[in-house]
Amino acid sequence: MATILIVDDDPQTRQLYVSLLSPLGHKVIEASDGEKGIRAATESHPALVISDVLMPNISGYEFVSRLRQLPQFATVPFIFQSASLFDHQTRALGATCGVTHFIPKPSEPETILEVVHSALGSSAQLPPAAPAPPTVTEHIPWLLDAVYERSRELEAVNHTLEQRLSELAATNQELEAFTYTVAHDLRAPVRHISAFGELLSQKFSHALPDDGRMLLNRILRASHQMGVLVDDLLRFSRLGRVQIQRNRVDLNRIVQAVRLDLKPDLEGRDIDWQIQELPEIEGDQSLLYQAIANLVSNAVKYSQRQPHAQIEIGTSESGGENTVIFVRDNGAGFEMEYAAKLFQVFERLHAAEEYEGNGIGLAIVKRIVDHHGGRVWAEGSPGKGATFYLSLPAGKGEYAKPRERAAGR
Amino acid sequence: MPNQGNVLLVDDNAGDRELVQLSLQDSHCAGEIVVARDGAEALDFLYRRGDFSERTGPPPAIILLDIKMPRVNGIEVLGKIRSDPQLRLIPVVMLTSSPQGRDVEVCYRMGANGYVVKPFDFAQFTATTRTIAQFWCSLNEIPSGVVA
Repeated sequence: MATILIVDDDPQTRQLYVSLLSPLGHKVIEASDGEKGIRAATESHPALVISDVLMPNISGYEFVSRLRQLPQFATVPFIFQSASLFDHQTRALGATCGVTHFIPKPSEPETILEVVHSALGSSAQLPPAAPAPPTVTEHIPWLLDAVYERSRELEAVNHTLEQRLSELAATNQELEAFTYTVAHDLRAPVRHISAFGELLSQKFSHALPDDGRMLLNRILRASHQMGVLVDDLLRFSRLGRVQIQRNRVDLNRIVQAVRLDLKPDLEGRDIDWQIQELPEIEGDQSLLYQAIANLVSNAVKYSQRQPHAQIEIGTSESGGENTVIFVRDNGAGFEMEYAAKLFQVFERLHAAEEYEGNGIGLAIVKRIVDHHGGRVWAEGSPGKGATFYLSLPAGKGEYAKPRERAAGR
Repeated sequence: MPNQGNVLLVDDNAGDRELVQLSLQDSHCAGEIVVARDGAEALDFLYRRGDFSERTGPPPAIILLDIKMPRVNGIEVLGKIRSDPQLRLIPVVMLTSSPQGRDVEVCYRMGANGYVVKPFDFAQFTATTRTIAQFWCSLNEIPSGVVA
């Protein structure tokens, strides 16, 4: 039989405690806020105080701190009810005010009774609790308010982010549909101009005067360029959502394959190739092929006016875990002040009449390198050539040094 | 050349149909080329319905199937063919305008025998369709039991 004080601004919670504890012979006294709780406590001398944490006027922390400062309540056991969200903080803060027990909200009646009886039994052993330093108790309500304010802000931000995310997903879907339309509906007419023009040239070229043949050839060249542009654009846009497949990639084999594929462009050219031994890295084979193919074919293209072109492919010293490879040519080069523009889509530093191109190739290289978590940059000067660098994560040790691993077994 | 397989060409684009027909006729590597202008017509042909209710003769040795078409698209036609016990062994090559990554996967998963993007270059275009026809109409043997 004990007198128990329950302080809670919610009448239903108070009623729950009354109906649970009264039948067991306890005298339950109710108070709807901290001030009333302090008055009720000094009048009825309860053997146990149960309090809510969040209450109007004064919080549970202030309530218990003020009660603890009265000598007759220095050792009275004290229970906090707390919502599980802030359980950890509540316990830590509560302990500094001398709260000995906690009841999570909501709880089964069995749990409540268990905690109440354990608290009642503990009153004798309770050491005199030192009153919490006033600085702590003063800051507690402020802290608690700040925590709740912050969590409300976070909820609002989360909500906005979720909205943005679904808007972005919708925009992405629209873009994909647009790409599909470009792919399908633009490719067909371009293909027809190109194919029927070719047929015209094959079958009736002899019937055309020289200037007519010249005009037809211009149409054919333009439609070919248009075809390449549409395909490059598609490749570029697809890279936006590609998932990279990481494997062991031998850069030497990629360079070999790239040179083989470029053979038609090398006819009639005098190129001095200097190719160093390249490392193996971890990456997406087909994407890396595309990136290196673009760089090497650029080197071939921009060195076409050199009677003795030189193209060098190799690795340069890298700091840390990245592998740096470079492709260098002695071709047209560029002015360094425009270096940043090189990798932007549709940006070109040379007129199309000088060097064929559409300004997508290096943007594709950048996207591929970005996907690998690497970096790309260029150095050059007009008339003296250009060097393009790729810095790529070398990958796990097992990939970086395959020969040593083999020798160890 | 005798016994060359027929081609069912399904494409809504008249220009593309003409290009395929031109390249196949010049190469003499396919038998008859039957044209369907969309997926619905293709299914009519396969099930001998509508304009094709009087059709006799063997099933096509190869179906060249565009994807984006009005009424019934190529992927739907492919699904229908692969789920019908009497049609499912007919080889189908998707001959499409657009190199769409997702379509490629979907088509192969549904049992397409190939996925070819129509090249821009006419010489390449001709070479591609001829290679397909040569393989499927002359070299490949269809198992007996296909009734279409």
